Amino acid sequence: MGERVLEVSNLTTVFHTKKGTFPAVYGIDFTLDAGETLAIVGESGCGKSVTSLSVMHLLPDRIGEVAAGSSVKFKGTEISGYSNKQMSKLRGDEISMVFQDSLTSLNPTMTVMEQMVEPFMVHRGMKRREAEKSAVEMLRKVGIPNPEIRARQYPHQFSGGMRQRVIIAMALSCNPSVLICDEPTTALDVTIQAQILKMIYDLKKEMNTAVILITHDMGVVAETADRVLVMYGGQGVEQADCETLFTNPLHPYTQGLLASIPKIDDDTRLSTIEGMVPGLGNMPAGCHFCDRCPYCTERCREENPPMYQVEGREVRCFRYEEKDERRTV
Amino acid sequence: MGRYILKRILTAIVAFVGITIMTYCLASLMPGSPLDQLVQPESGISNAELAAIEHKMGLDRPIYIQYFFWLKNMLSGNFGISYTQHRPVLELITGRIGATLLLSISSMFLALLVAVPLGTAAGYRPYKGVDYASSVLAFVGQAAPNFFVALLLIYAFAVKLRLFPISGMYDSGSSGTMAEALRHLVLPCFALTFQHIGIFTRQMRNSMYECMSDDYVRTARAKGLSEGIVLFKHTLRNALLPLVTQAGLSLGSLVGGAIITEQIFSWPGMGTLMLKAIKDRDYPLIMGITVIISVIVLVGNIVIDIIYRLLDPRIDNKV
Repeated sequence: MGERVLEVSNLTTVFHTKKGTFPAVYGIDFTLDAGETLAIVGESGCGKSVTSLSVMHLLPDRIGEVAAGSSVKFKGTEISGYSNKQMSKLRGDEISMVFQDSLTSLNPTMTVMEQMVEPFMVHRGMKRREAEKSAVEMLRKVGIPNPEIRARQYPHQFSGGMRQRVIIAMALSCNPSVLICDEPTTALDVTIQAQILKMIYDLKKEMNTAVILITHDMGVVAETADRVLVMYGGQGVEQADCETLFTNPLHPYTQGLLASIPKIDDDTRLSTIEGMVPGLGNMPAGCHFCDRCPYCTERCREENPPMYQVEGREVRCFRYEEKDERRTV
Repeated sequence: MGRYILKRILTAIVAFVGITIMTYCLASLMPGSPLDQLVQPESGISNAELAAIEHKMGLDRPIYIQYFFWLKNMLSGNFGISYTQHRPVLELITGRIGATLLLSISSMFLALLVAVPLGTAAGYRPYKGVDYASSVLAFVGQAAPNFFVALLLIYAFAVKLRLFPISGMYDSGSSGTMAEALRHLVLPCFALTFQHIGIFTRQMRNSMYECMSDDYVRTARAKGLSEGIVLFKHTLRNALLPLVTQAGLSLGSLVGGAIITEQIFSWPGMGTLMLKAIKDRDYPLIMGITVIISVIVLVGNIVIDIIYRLLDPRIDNKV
């Protein structure tokens, strides 16, 4: 793969709530190379979105905060301590983001054109006329028919799929090195989903953009990702390349997740993972998954396992302690 | 847009007809006949003469016929003759309407002028100094009746500090310049709008606060826009929508409140005329003023609907 564009290590994010301050993400580590697609998967509330918002410095004001000791390196430069002003130079230019709900993510009172020209004008210093040309070009690229006319319309005059194309066009305007897609297809029909995913894939190849794809849909992961980071309870629990993960999941949570995918040729009852994701401030003292794990031991309840390196992949479970490649005996 | 405005105007016409019917019925239901005011009991007028006057005034016809005559005359600009002042009602009203419009419209602008920046600042930085200060102002404003605020203002700024005149629109014996009218306008305008400053500030603060956590604001930030553009270009326009609705709702109470405020400050508007008309049971004048005030409110509402449509393009789909 290409150059390393993003290196996140020990990223910890805390939320200040009325009941106190609780961590939402506990020391996440991952890297991203140019042209690569990393999928971050997990149930709702596992910290996927918080992780990406932390990287972008877009956590809700006064509520979310990246803790000291976290490191986010963009092309080798530490950006976790960047001010809002410094970050706004990167956002939309070098690192872009696509959000889940295409209706609420676009400003309802501004035309698509008004919103599309902004990245060109802010980051490329273009004049309005020039920016409009580039915006139309970008809309054409994401498959919006009659972009000159459509751009003059408001978001509510677009269908869900078309709106998501607009948002993706906006995110890719300045040819970013990193594109973070937070559940980009969750709110769309299955047929539209496939189109949008294919479009992201094609544009990514064309522009050599690195993509972080946040999703809970294992089908989407299987189709698009190079590498997968599985998150549970605010931690990474397993990281492997896509094929290895699907053929040989190691962590009990990943195994459960894959077993919950319905299979058409299987008559047995659909497998589920019992229980729920523990909430903020309710994390078990030991392994975060211990309450729902079929292999849970006394030790799991008391001690949180570290990430073990096993066969070139990472897994956070005591069952693989023996196989850890970093272990010094 | 054209269809939208047309629809608003048609709705307003229906409302106008409803208002005239209610005004006429209520006026007819009031105890005592207009004749009681006109004719002194001791004047020794005969019953036949009385009946003749009654017939001349149309008072012997069924009420719905009376209503149609009244409506027809009014639409052709004839609001009748004031029973007590013996001059055309329309003439009396046009002599006063300017002062009332000046007071009401300047109050509306003053309320918006204070509430928009203050509410925006408070909603943008909630639970901080400006927010707390604006909350106190808003609650006091909403709680204080405007006649009481008026008395306090007179005591503080007219009696003690002598900054503004106590009452009237011009100094006595002066030719009446614009600057003089504006100086006289300050206190009644503040008294009338104090409550609305409170309501508008609260509304603006809340909608700003909510809009700041909307997804499109996050999208705007994710594009790398500066905070200024995010706030003024992306958020403010959306946050103004509920305030525009609120302003429309407040229009009626603002014009209605003007009647009391005018009385306190001897402002030569329709309010003082109205109170006198009620005291005198001067039906043509009461009805004329009621109809004119409702037309002002209806027109104001159409203007506000148009502003709303300009701010929110989604409206076309909703109607």
